[in-house]
Parts: sequence; structure tokens; C-alpha cells
Amino acid sequence: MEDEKILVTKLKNPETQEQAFRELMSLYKERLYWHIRKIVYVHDDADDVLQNTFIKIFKNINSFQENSKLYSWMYRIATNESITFINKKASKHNVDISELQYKMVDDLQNDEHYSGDQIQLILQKAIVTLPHKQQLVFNMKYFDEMKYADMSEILGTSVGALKASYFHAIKKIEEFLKSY
Amino acid sequence: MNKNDLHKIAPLLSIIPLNKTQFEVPKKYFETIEDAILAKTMAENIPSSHSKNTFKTPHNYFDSIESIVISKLKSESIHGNNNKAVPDNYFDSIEDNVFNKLKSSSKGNFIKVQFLKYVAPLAIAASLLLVFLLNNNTNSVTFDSLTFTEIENLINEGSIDIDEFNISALYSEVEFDNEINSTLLSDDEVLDYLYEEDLDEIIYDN
Repeated sequence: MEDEKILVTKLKNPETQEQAFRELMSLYKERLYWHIRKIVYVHDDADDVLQNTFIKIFKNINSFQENSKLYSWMYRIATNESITFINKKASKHNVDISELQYKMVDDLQNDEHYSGDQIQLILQKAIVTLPHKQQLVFNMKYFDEMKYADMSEILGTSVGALKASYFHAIKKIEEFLKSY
Repeated sequence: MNKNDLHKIAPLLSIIPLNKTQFEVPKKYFETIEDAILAKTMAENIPSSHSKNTFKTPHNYFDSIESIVISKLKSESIHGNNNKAVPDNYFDSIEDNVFNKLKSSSKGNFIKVQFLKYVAPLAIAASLLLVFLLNNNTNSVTFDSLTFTEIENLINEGSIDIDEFNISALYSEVEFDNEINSTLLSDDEVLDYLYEEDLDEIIYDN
């Protein structure tokens, strides 16, 4: 936490900003990337969103009020940027988001940057059948093994609601896997 | 939720290996991404807290301004520059409005003519009287001190000589009674006048 405060101070100081920003990217680029990738599926899209996320962090660092963890704040920006990206893509193709997600998952097996086996592909298909927020909860808990308290800070939802949401997500996915 | 709990609730899901590398990235992607982001940041010239640029434009202004201008130009070429709307039923009521205005202006003229017909001659007489009295009388005379009856008496006595023809020339729209212009001459008086005067000279002069 102390290290985080020092980093934030450096980020807000124009003289040390660039070096601090490099340090910030080095610390969080992979975690943010994989979170984004699980929402947008395609590497090139995840790359765009990740860059936009860091640029947004850089632009708005002075408005970060330090009443939450820096990583929670960054994760929230990454989530919003990913959702915005998906919405724009769906709108561009004149389809709704669910339809777009089904298509993206279908295209995974032909994606050069996807090496999952059959069961993992089926799991991805099961995830897109969940409501959008529940997809986020499942990904953050199941794949990222995030604490409920941190998830609560990022998604703005109570811990109890998150636990209930995760439980329902697991049940639905299990039913989908059984039906396959 | 630990693995045991997951296995109880969702046994199929619990046996799927947690393999994050099902998604792959190009080689050296994470080694080069930082430079790419920094370059993009500098290229966008993101203002820092010490920015001297205090002028701002609305969000996405430069992205949208072209479309806005083109739309406006197209709109003007289709609809013309006259974008002003007229009130509802304007062209239906314009005729009535014009006629009403004409009527109200002619009423004003009628009143004006009536006023001139009766008041103008008396006003002229009064002013002439005033001049006469001022010349012949040291006592101050005001217009208010004269009554219409007094003015009429002065005219009848011949103290004020009003040239009706000059009045009719000044107020051509005023209709005088025929009696004002007519003279009470007998036929004999007319004949005498004609014998006495040199008609040739009169005709030549006129």
C-alpha cells in the first residue's frame, strides 16, 4: 500500500511521470491484458483496448482520489473500455452483444492465438450464455481468483450479491456442460 | 469457494483444467507493449497538469465538425437559405389583414376631411382677426377671448375678407358649399359689367 502511494505521487508529478508510468505498465499490463482478453476474445482487439486503458489511466491519474486501490481503479477502467469496445463492435455489425459474443466464440477455434482444447472451448460457449455482468463475475473469480472485496470495489456490487451471482453462474455452466 | 466446494456444486466444471494459456499472444508482445503505449501517449500530446493550453473544444469536436458542416451545406442546397418558418395559416389570412388595414386608414382620412371642412375656415378667420385687432388695438387680444359668434359677425360686417378661392386651392379635398362660391348678381348687373369692361383685354390677360 505504501509502495502504491509512492507510485501514485510519482505519477502525479510531471517530472517523474514518465518513469512512474513505465513502472505502472510493467506491474499491471499482463493482469489487465488477460482480463480484457476474456471479454473481447481477439488478441488485436485486446491490444487496442489495453492501450486505450493505459492512455486513459495516464490522462486521468490526477483525478484518482486514492480512496480505492490503484489496481481496482485501473481494473474498472479496463472493464469499462472492454464493454464499450464490444458495444461499438456489435453496433458496427448491426447485431446485439450476445449475438456478437456467440460468433466470436465460434471463431475461436480458427483463431491462431487460441490453443484451448475442446472442453475449454465448450466452457467459453457456456460463459457467453450468462448475463453480461455475471460473465464478468465468473471470469474474475474463476480465472483470476480475485477476492470478493476487490471485485466489489471494481464492479460496485456488494460482496453478498457477488457471491450469489457467482453461485448461479456455476450452476448454469454446469447445466450447459451436461447438455453438451 | 474452494475446489472441494466447487466439485460438490459443479463436478464437470471442477475437472476442467484452469488453463489461462488457452488464449495466446504474439511473441514478445508484453516486452514491446510499453513502448507502443508511451509512443501513442506522446503522439496524442496528452496535456499534463502543467498544460498551458487553456482553450478547450467540445469533446470530439474535430471528429464531428466535418460531418456537421457537410450536413448543413446539403440542407441549405435542398431547402434554400430561407429557413425561416412562417406562422400557421399566414397565407390564408394575409388578404383579410391587408383589407382591414386599408379600411382603418380610410376611416382616418374621412375624419381628417370632415375636420378640415368645418374647422379650417374658422381657424383662418380667427387668425386674420387676431392680426387685425393687434394692429388697431393696444389692448391684448387672445384667440381664446374671441367666440365663434364674434368671428362670424366680423366676417359678415366685412371686417375680415376671406378669399374662398384661396382656401379651396389650399384645401382641395374640402368640399365647400355652393353658396360660398356663388355671388348674388342680377342679370342686369352682369350685362352692365360686360358693357363697361374691355372684354378683349380681359380675355387677353387670362
